[in-house]
Amino acid sequence: MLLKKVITASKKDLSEISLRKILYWVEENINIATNEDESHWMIIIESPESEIDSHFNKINKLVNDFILREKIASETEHLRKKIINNALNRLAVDD
Amino acid sequence: MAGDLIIERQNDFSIQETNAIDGLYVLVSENTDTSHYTIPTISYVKDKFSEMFFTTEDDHDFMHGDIIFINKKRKKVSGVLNQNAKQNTLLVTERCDNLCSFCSQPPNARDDTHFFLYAAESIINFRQDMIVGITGGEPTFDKDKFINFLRILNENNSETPLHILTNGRAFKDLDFVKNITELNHSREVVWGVPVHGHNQQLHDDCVGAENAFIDTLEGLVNLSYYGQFIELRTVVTQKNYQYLENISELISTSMPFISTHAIMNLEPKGWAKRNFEELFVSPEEQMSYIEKSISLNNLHGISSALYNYPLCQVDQKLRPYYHKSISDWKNYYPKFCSGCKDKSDCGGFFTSSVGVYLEDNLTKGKQ
Amino acid sequence: MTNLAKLPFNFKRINKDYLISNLAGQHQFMKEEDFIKVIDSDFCELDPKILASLESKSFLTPENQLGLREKIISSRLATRIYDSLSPPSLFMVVPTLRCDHDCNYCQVSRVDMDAQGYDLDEEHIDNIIKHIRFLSREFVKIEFQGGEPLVNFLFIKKFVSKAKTALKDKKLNFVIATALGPITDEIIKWISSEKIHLSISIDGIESIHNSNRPSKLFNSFKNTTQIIRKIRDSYPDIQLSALTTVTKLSLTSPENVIKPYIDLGFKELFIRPLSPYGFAVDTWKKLGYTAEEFFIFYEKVLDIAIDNDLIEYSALLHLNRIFKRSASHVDLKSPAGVLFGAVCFDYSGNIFGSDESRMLYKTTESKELILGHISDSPKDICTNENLTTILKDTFIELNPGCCDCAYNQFCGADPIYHLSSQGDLIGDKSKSFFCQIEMKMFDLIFEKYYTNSNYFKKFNEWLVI
Repeated sequence: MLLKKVITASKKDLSEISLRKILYWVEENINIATNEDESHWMIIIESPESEIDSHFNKINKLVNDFILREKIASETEHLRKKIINNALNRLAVDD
Repeated sequence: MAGDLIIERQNDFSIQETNAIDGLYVLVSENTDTSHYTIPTISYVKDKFSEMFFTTEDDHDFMHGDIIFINKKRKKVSGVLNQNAKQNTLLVTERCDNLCSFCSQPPNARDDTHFFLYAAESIINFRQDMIVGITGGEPTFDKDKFINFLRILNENNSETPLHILTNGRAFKDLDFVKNITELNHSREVVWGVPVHGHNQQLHDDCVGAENAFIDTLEGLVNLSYYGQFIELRTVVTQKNYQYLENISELISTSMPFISTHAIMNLEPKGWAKRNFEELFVSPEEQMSYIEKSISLNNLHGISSALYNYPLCQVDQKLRPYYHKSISDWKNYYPKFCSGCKDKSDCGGFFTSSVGVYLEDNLTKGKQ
Repeated sequence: MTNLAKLPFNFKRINKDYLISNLAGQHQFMKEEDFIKVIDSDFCELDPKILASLESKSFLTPENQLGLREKIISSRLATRIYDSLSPPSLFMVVPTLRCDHDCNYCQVSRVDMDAQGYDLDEEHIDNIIKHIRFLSREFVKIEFQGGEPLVNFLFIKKFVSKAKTALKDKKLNFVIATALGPITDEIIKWISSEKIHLSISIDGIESIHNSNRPSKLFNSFKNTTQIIRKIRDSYPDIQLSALTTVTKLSLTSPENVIKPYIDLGFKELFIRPLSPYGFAVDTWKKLGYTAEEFFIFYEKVLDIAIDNDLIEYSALLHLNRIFKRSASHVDLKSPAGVLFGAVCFDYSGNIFGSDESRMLYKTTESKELILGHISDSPKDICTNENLTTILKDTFIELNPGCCDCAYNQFCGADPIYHLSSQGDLIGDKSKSFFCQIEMKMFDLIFEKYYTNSNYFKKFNEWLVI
């Protein structure tokens, strides 16, 4: 029997790019669909009863990890871009 | 120095009288062509030299080609650059922009022009195949004077390899680094740059100057852009000994290009003597932290060196990193060292540690 | 506490702990509670020693040092990339594709012993050496691969003799990857006098080895062990190294895979998982396994190796990447090691940027893999468009899937692998066996290093040898 579980994430915590990244990592054998409203993303997981909990946990972990990544990025992303640019510029000058 | 102090090499001797004018001289044996020297020469005959000065002290450690300084007022003849010395170091300035609490050569705002000139003259008139240390104060305190010093050496075709102690702060100016690199193109230079803390708070506290950490680190990165050889030096005190491994982490993150990490025991000289109580931490207490630091250095492929430690106080497994380094005219071996089988490998103790520093703090050595 | 700011970092959960890493190539292994404190900027709550480490490694910085730290980190990143783009030092020469073995996972698509048109002609030797001279810097390691290289021994003999003269200003090293079939006493003597290293495959005890690597001509396991023993006895100066390719059969018994290494007195072993080249692609169903299955096996082998004082080379490679940031292993670099790690001179006369490229070319005939021909001028190889095409997408910091990974400074881009298994130079890492293996490998290495004192001690010993 197939069961459904939904993970909801606020758009304030998770951007569309992060959502796409999450979907990138979802294993092929997990059946999911996405939906949205004005303020939230919804990830709908549909799996057999025996697997629904493990699938839910995997996706939940991904969501939490990417929310965390966005939090860190909000403080550091501008530095990361600067650092990579500086490094590549240095290499371009050297040659 | 008398009593049971046996100093390895005498660097100077007192004089009674002389006709010679104060200043630098080159010792030359008879029948030497002196036309290429730029300073006056003094005839040197072994075992007869000191007689010229009406003194009974011996002159065994001087030889032809050595540079000496005659100071009538102080009644002294001092060795400036000596071939028998294990290390030759020249002071070029007493001025400095740091104020390290353990400074062995406390700063002085006096004019330093003559120091630079004497140093240049000494190097130019000495043999070129022996490395000479340059120290201060801060040799690059006045950038123009430092550049001029190098120019004088170049004009006189000096290729003497130099080991220059510097806090590195002036090198945050990239153009200055470029300039110096070009001026040094025909000599080998190793920069000895101290970093005493893993962060601004600790390092600036140790060196008594704000922004020292930032400047020094920028300077180090700039030196690396020009492929310079760097010996990073850490003086171990009560303030920083527990953070040695963090300094190693800093090294592997920010300056993995250094040649060596020199970990140095405190020399009780200058301000270090004044602040000894609050600075001193025994080598025994230091060892486990030194070990962690050296392990990390090894992991990241950075070589380590231990300086100024008496051999008996260094753990057996850290002995490969030990250097017998105390300048030979500064070291001595107290009486109880006379039976030690490792004595010839050991640097001994600083003469400045005679008295309270030695007796209070010497732990039982392993014989 | 001065105002501390975070610098960019990636993170990964390893069981209950966290591993963070940054573009300076530094890492910190942290308990979950400490990781959360960093995320929440609760720096005052952190143990001062942990805080000291984080600051020293440029994860945190006082705000007034942001400019300095950026400079330092981009310096380290530039150095890492630059080191990856240094001239190659590994040059593979394929004297023949003929082989006396029938390995079921053969990655080079070998041909039979009597096949015609699969040998490299001696007339190419001078040109190959010209290419090597042009492309290399100080160190040159020439590795003979096959088929079975010793089948064309005369080529090898001539090559070594010419190379030692023409390249005498370089630091030269020669290796022959051989299954020891055609090796005679005369050849062994020559190998000893010329100081050639031998790289041999040992897949496990006789039943495993012969099942993976059968030969119509002899008992492969018996022959291999016999020759090794003979060499150890009569020519102990000959350097031998061995490697194991893991198949589904090997997974059943880690002890039996490592046993021959212990019996034959090897100090080092190299465990390699299967890769999607040559015959292995078709036989994957029979021979292949998942990354999880591989690691259940690998952990046990590593345990046995450590207990028996053997160094496991793939673990060491990863440790070197983590601690020494070495760019010496061609498969684990970013930008990738194509041409800038290794060059392969194939029996066909084509020049490839890696061993895998020539393997993939054999099965697909993809011209885009060829960087040139032995008869070309050496300069043309580096300017070949195919090279730029392959390399431009191997900057790991920018690749999807890799950009957020905590291991990206230690891992590598393997464009040919993904081209082979997925038809794309970058590949979908979520489906990549290579990515799964690497992630699990780094998970294992970091966890063992930081939570197991015996592994900590042993790994440190391996790293400073």
